[in-house]
Amino acid sequence: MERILKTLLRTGVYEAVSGSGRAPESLYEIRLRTGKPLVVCGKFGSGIVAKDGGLSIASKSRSVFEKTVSARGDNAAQNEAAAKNDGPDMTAAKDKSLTAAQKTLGFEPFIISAEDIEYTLGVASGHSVYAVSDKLVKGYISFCGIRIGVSGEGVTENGRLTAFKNINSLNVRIPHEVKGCAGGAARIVDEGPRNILVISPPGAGKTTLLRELTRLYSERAYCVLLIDERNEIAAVSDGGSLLDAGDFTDIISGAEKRLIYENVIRAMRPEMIVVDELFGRADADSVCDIIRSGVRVMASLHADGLDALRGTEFEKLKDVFDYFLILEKPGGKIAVIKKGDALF
Amino acid sequence: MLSVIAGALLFLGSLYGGVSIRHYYKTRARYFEELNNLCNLLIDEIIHLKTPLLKILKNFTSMKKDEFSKHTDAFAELLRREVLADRESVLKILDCAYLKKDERIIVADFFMILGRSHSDSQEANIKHYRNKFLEAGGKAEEAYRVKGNLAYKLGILLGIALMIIVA
Repeated sequence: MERILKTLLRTGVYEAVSGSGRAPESLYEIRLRTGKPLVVCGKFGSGIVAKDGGLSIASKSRSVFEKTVSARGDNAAQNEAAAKNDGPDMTAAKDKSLTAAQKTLGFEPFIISAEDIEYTLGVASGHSVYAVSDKLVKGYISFCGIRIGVSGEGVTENGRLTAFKNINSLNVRIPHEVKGCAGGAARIVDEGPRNILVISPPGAGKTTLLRELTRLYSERAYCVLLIDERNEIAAVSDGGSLLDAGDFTDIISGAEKRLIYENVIRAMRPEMIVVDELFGRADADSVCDIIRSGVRVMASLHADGLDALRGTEFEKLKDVFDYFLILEKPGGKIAVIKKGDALF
Repeated sequence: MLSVIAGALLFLGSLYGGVSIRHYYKTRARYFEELNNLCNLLIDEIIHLKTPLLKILKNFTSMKKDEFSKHTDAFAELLRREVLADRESVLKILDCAYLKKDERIIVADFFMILGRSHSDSQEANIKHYRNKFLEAGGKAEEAYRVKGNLAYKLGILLGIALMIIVA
């Protein structure tokens, strides 16, 4: 992953991200916004990266960035700050000539330039933005299993978004493989294939959990078909999977799930289909159709709990799925709800 | 004997001058012809197949050794190495005797737009440059037929004349 990030990010950005001995692959997200400070997100929350690679952690409750200052190289102070924030080392630059940004933040942040964005976009698209325009319209591109969220000026035609231009913001989401993260949910696997819906707000670890459950099913010799539309569950690159989805897992990556359901069920004869991030009525209908056809489905859905499904196109999923796994935050407890439980 | 050898050398020198001038015009004409061929290939590959740019360039230059293919290979290498190919670097690649300064700028701008936008925009831009290259190519072809061949014939005639005078 380190090699991939080194390729994907411009040298200066990579050096800032990996400053103070931070392992970039341990981060969850790297946010690049033209003319704005470089922001990284990890176990510690969100932080602005200083020019020298130091980091200041956001304090959302006070809507200011709480400076966790220590001079670079001052290991004791860094460790103290890291322990306090339960995250990687945090330092901030000490500079007497304060710029406007420094006056606000207390240190000079690493500012992202348009070239930094263009560089990452160039690498991720293989110097061929036209080849990824379908994905760009959906708001992301993939590079070696890393999903990069994209925003810029939308171009519309007849009410449809046809392209993005002047891309000014990227969110590099680094996939994490956490074996054993399924916790109590792992016992569901012992029951054999079941219809499982993983629910959480964005960034709580749905994909990580989905990957782990897929691997566990695969370990028990169930034929699993992973439809990895955004290529972030198995991170397929050059035909090989960078993350472990199991030996009994067939992977289709980069293709829209609705387009491949029918043919794949006939041809691959899976015992279970795994799909990430259901969105919209069409996805909900497709999943119900597959379950009706006798194939088990494990899927994930963005929602703030089961109650949030009420009155939406996803409400009917409550009737077809056997288990609902609710996540609140990364590494947090997984609430396992079985269809018919009192909570339900 | 010495005068015969000197005459033969002068003839060969004059012939070489004529051949060189013709080669210059021929290379220019061939350069724009290849540019036009690349534009056609790019339109096909980008619009219909969405083939990655580096692959298109590699396929285009494979088995070719002409001046334009050398430039194309150097541009692909620059992209691979630096990702963000700036105009100055591209102009440096195109530094050769066969292109005039304004032509170098147009070719550099053409290379700079490749792969940087969605397919509709790429198609429009490539067609725009193809028209420019067709126009420049037409002039270069005409110059090759008229000036190149004339220089070649004059080289031969001058060589014969010099040989007669010296011998």
